[in-house]
Amino acid sequence: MTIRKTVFLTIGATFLGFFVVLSITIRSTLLPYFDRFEKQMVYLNLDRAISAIESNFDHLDRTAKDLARLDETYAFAQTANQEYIKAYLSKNAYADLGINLLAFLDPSGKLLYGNLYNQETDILEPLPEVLIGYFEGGKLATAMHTGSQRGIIPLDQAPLMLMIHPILPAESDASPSGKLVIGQFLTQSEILRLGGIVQLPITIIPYYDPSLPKDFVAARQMLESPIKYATLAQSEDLIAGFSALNDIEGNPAYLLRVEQNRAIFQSGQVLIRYLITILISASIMFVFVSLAPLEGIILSPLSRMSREVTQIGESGDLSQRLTVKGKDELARLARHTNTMLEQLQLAQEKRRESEARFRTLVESMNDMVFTYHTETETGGFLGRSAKELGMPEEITLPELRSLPVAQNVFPIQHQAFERCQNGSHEVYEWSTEINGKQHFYQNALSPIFDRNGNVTGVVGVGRDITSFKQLEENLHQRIAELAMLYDISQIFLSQPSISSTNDTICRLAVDKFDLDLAWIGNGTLDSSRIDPIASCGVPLETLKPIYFDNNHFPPESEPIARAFCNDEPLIDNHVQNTAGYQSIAAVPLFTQTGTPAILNLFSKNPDHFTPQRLRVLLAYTNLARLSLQNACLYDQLEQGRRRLETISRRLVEIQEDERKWIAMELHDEIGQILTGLKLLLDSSISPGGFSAEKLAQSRGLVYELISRVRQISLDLRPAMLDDLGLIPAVLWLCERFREQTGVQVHLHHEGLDNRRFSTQVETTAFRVIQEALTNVARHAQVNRVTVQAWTANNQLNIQVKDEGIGFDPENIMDNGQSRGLMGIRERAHFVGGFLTIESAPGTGTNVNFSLPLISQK
Amino acid sequence: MSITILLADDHRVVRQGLRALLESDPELVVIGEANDGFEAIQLVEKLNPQITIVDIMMPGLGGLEVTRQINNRTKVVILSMHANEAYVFEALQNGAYGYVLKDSTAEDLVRAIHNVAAGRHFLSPPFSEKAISAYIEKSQPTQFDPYKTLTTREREVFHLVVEGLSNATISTRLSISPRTVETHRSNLMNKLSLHSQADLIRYAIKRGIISME
Repeated sequence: MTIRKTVFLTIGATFLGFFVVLSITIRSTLLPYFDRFEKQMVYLNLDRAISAIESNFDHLDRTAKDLARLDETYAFAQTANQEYIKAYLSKNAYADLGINLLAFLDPSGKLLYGNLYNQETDILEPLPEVLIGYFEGGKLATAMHTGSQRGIIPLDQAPLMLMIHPILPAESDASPSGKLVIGQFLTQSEILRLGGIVQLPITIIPYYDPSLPKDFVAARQMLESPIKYATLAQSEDLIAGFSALNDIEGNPAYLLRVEQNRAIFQSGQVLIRYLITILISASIMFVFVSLAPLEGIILSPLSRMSREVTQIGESGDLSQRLTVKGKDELARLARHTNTMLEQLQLAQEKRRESEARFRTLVESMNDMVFTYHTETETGGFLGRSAKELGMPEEITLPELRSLPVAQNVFPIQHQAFERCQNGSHEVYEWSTEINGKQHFYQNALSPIFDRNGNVTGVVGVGRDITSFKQLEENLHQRIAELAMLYDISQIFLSQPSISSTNDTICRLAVDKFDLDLAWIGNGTLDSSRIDPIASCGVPLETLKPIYFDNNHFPPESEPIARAFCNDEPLIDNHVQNTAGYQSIAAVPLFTQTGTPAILNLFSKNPDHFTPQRLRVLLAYTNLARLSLQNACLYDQLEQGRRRLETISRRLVEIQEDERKWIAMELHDEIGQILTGLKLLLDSSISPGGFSAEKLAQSRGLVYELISRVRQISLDLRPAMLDDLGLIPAVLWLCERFREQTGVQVHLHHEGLDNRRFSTQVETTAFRVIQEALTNVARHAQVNRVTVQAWTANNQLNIQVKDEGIGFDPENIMDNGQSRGLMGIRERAHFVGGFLTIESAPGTGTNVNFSLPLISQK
Repeated sequence: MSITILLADDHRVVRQGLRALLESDPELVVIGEANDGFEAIQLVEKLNPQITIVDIMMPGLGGLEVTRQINNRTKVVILSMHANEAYVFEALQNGAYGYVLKDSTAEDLVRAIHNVAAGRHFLSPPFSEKAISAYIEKSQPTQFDPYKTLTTREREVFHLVVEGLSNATISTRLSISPRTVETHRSNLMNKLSLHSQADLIRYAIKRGIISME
């Protein structure tokens, strides 16, 4: 039952109960009040009716008293004279007095006179016996002395109202002479009259009338108990009050009924009805007034919230939110619920995310995860590997045992599984074939223990270690290859020369790569021919050079020529060769230094150069290249060393030559002159005085001496170079050269006059020119030479050019014939310059020297 | 009226010889002797000689430099062993009034001093102003064509380079190593005062080595 229904029912029931209790209370308190009030009204009316009857009695009493006081009456009672009767007791007297009975009793109670007047017939009738019985029976005797008596005597005609009064003289205290009795019938008309007086219908019925109406019977019964009045509701509109009318002796003789309408009762009813109506309307209003806000403030939002929560709960969509209205507790509740939802959503998202991550992790792992529960005897596989192997995510033990993968290597798997269930950790390897490819797995099984140390399951990880296995295999292979390459490198290291290296390269290639022929060819300078220089497999003499040009390769040796030209290794595993070779590999060895060489390998097997073999082969050729370069460098080093040796030897020789020359000059020239001078001076001084002639001769010798010394000094090193710079020194040099050799020197220079360089630069430049000129004088056989010196791009350039017979520079350089030229080349190199000697027999000579002037001003 | 003379020579023997030679002329008075260039400058300041005889070769400050520094206070006669116009020219450039070779006769020297003291230049034989002029003529820089200084190889490389060939191709074509090609190339560019490939092409077009097609 919903809250709304419960609330509605509770409030409805409360108000219903409230209404019932209130209406009962109203009825039980108001109705008796009105009842009592009505009864009182009835009693009052009965009193009034009785009073009306009593007023009749009072009238009778007054009539009786008036009559009894009359002296004639007194006398009559004593005398009973007839006169009186005639005078006073005619029919008319009855009518006048308005009485129906008149009787006189003597003091003993004996009836003196008595008649009954019938108004209808207007006749006097004698007294009925019943009445006389009353008088004479002594029933009324007691009243004779005491005073007047009044009462009703039931007669057959009608109830008779009787008044007994003692007859006394008017002004004396004489004893009464008898009693006067007067009576009046309470006829229907009289009753009606009485009803008119009290304005209520009055009914009088004999008390013991057998044909009494029902209500009278009920009233008589009620009046049996000592109560004065009884009331009986005749109907909704009418109520009757009853009272007993006693006869003169005090016995009930008649029943008096007074009827009246129930105005009070009815107005009471109306009032109650109004009250209840008001109550009902008020209740309904109250219910609505109290329910409306309840509905608006609590029930409707509550129901909406319940609906929304139900919807969210059913849909499971945590992104939905409750509607938040207002600021009451419900709104707060909704807001808190929303916060909770938010956190739930967040938590859910996080959970999903981590779940997804975990799943991705497991899915992306190459590993296969296996779980097994001992109790349920079920398990499952997870992971990409598991999918590839077709392992189900859920599996029972019999299914597990019948898996084809398990069948393959069942003993291992089964034993490991059983042992693991007994609590031991198991690691083992196994393999299976998937899509025709062998896969290796490493399984690690671990038991799962509960708190008591019992095995409740098994968790296992199967790792695809195929790649590791392959790696391992490759590694072994690589180690073998490396070992082989190491051996080869050791052999290469021990090679003494290029030619033996070449031979070894061919021999090892044939040995290690299972070949039929290997040879090395050297390319010529113009790259048009490859000459075999080393071979293994066939004698070197049987191999012929390969001729080709850039666009045309001989078909027989096409791969070799092409590899050589492109400087890239080339493989042909299906070659048609007249010598029966089917696989050819051509690998260029080096092109950086020296002449390019190429290693050519031949096998009579097709497909001999597999990728793997090729890989090792390339490594081998790299080693070979290195080894060759080593040998080359060694050769160069050896050459350099030899050249250095030559140079230093020559330096020593030059030094010795210079010394020899100076010594010779000093001894032969200076020494001779000095000796001559000394002899002259000796002979010029004689005991007789100086010989002027000999002194003049001596002076001549001294001049010659000065000249010689200056000459020697200039030959050794012109002071001009230091004092005046390069150009004056070169000018002097050229002039001197022309003087000494007769060869015309044409000197051109630019950008050098008035410019000084470092001593080293100037000296080197000077010596280059000097040496080049010397060379011209020695070899060129010309009468003309051009010397040019200029600066450009901050570089000093010297050129000495002749058009003489020329020579082969290599020849001269190598065999050390021209020590001077070789010396200045070294010297140029030493100061960072560059010297070239261009010459060939018959083409003249061109010596070029250039020197950067970076640090010079 | 006597002529005051300062002697500047690092050789005492030469100074003694000179003093003996000069004092044989009564008109000449040697008022001081300097042992090197610095002393010479100091003594000129101090003694204000009319003539200073300076040896061209002195340790430390050379005779030419000394001449340059003192030529406004005294008239310098250079005493030199160099019978070379270059020296003469240099000495005159530096403000010397006379240039006398050491192996000249004593008469030459005395004559030189008298000439110089009279305000005339004196060059000892065989020098003359004419010879000096000839030397100056000869030593002047000459216009020449740098392209003609290129060697045959350099010219080959030059042609191949302006044809747009790479060093590697040129090295194959000329059967020399790429490094050598590079050296030739840098040399020829230096000789021709060129700095870039664009300069090279421009030069080649200017010289008509390649046409501007």
